[in-house]
Amino acid sequence: MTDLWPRYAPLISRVAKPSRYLGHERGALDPASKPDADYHAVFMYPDSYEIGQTNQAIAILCDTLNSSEQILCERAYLPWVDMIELMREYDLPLVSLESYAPLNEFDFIGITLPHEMAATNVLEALDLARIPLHAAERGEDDPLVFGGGPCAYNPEPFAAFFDAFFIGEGEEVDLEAALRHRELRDAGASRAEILHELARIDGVYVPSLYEPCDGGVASAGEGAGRLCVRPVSDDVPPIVYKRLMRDFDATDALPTPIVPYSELVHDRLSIEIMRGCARGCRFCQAGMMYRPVRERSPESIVEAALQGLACTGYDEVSLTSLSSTDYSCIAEVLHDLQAATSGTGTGISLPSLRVDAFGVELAQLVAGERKGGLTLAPEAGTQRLRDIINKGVTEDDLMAAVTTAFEAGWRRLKLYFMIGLPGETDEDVAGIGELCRRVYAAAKDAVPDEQRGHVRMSVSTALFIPKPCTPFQWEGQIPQDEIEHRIEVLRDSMPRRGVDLHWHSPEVSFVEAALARGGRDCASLIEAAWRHGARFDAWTEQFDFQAWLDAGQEVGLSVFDLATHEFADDEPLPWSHISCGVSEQFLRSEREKARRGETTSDCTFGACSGCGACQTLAAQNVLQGERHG
Amino acid sequence: MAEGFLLRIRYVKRGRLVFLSHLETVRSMERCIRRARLPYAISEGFNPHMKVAFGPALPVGIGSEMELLDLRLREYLNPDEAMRRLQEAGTDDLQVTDCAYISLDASSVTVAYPLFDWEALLADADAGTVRAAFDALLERGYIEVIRKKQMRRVDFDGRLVGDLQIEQEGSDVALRFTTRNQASGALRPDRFIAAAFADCADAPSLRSCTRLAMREES
Repeated sequence: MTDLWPRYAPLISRVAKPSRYLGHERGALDPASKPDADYHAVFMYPDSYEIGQTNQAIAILCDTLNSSEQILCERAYLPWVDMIELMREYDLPLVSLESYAPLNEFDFIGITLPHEMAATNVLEALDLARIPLHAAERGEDDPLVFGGGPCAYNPEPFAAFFDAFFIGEGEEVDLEAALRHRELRDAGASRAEILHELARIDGVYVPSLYEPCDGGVASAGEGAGRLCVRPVSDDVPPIVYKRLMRDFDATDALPTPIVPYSELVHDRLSIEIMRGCARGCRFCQAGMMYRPVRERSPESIVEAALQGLACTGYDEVSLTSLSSTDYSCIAEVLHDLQAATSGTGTGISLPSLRVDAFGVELAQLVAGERKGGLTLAPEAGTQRLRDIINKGVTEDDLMAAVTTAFEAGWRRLKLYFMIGLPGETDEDVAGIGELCRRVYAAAKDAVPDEQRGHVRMSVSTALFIPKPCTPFQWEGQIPQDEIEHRIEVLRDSMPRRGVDLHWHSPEVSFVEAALARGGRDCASLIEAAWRHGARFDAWTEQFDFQAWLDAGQEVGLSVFDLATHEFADDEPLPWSHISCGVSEQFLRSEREKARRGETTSDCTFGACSGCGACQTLAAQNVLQGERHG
Repeated sequence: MAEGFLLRIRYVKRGRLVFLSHLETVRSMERCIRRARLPYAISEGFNPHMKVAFGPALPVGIGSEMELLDLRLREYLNPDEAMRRLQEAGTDDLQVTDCAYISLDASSVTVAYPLFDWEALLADADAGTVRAAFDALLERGYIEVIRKKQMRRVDFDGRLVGDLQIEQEGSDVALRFTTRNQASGALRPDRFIAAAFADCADAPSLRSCTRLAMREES
């Protein structure tokens, strides 16, 4: 492998935050430590180092691949725009961080797709890496480019740029694919033969082996929809089911921790305490995609956290999952960690809180004197709409949480809401402002008179974006004039004093919605947007909506039309050939229940909701104790 | 009244890590101290943190053979043992080289050593040309820097101590000089060198620049 550090070194002092490009962090793999490895893999996160280095999936997958003596697995990130400019000026290709080797010298490039707004960064990375953008144009000597992560559940808009996708949890499938690729490479198999073989591995989707069929084929299973693509040969599965770590507790709770020099967006030790969430919020893609729920044992969490703190020197550990305060032994884990780290200035954090007094009591347990801000997400302003989205939070829960928090000493509160939800009316939007007024009053009532002036509240409002694999996957996003109207209603409804209101840009949401639910034709839109200069679209100051509008005009696809399109009941969905285990029948029934304002309970607290994930994936919820709630 | 023990820790910053900012260096050394499990003292209050004070910041891109930090310890630990643990917890390019206790009322590490000795290597340069460039700059007596969007003059008087040494070392030219850290603003070695070649069409590139030592006023 070519080491390009000597050519990069003179440029390092000319860019912002040079520490992004240094590598050599404590815990990072030394390529010299694996002299026998003859298969070179790299995981690339399509954003800057300080965003990507926090990604737990890449840490886990690098460890998994490096567990094989034959594989050397490295990391790569997209350089920031100033470095990209210099790379083009000095004719330098994109490199890995460990050995500073050009990405096009690797056998395997894994690119995680964390969200739709990273799409143009994938093209920027491939272009900088001097790898043909289109999988169809890659030659025998080019690396195989694999995609994975949340956006792989609708891979079609990205399909043209990837040789294959890994669907679901990657611990096993990534290693199986890499080892099989190595074996076939050494046996002299062609690129096409290798991809065909890889498509036979469970959880691997090879887009080039599927052709558009305009809904001509019904997908398997009762109540299932119709497919947009079908396999071109019999030995390739018509539906690709996600891979799942059934025995999650047997996986290593502490992937080799790398201690960065740069300040990361989440600059702390993360311990993944659980996978999956069965609360069943109908807008939430993660809540459907990662089922069933699997909790790690409290002993292994505490041990991993303490070991991780000792070997990294971090002063904070975060217990991560989709709903950490639902974890059955959360109080026990927090007590044990608190006791073990007492007197060391170590903080313990929970990434999300459930909206009730219990959630706040847990937050109180770890906050000690550090009571910064508290964040709660009621999502909707009225009970009617919270029932439609199955949020499972009542106003009493919220008020109990707020009162408990402000009595306990918190003085800053942030509330998250969404607007544009299916079934939403002006009254629901105005209900956000009215709810905020009541919450603000409750917060003030809960603090001593002399401290009332210290109460601060902010409200952050996102636009609902319909996502694949959710009960709202058929819905369209509301049109622009309606968004503007609802923001107006929201602003008018908010209390005049004491509450700061923020809302997300509708333009970003349109692009996100278009790419979330588009089909294969969206690849031309992404590529044209990138050619018009779009990149780092998730960065507000870098986002260039005009580039997307110009691209749409060029290729005849409108982000507005794609985003607002409501799929008819019998219309094939572009992602119907990818399954997260939750049945289409369940999603349809949840959509119907939403329309009737009926709720569905969380199966980890009660009876099975019939989502189909356990049956389809031959798995079950794994809880470490009884859940509180 | 101050309690505990004050350990003055000396460390080096080399190789790629010369590109760490001061804050990144601070964070990395604090993490090293935690990994070393030294019995560090914690502040009380809203946001408890390690009681540690760092010496004067280095500009990004400049290395050092002598950086200092003062760490408050809750209990006494043999300084050799502290150094052994810190070295084990450190990395080659950010490595502790000495630990010694100082009095709790000793001068703060930020002001104790106001004199900085620097060494810069100019790549593929000629000592005569370099000497001529610096003679002209010293004759002028100041450099101009932009701070907070305003042009500001940094005079050499009081900030540059003693003579510049300029020596040809193979194809490189070694430049050694001493500056004095002043509350009114320091003379940054990289800016000092850049100013000497500001009007030069093919200015030599800076191969490295290193703080060799920090000293007390003699």
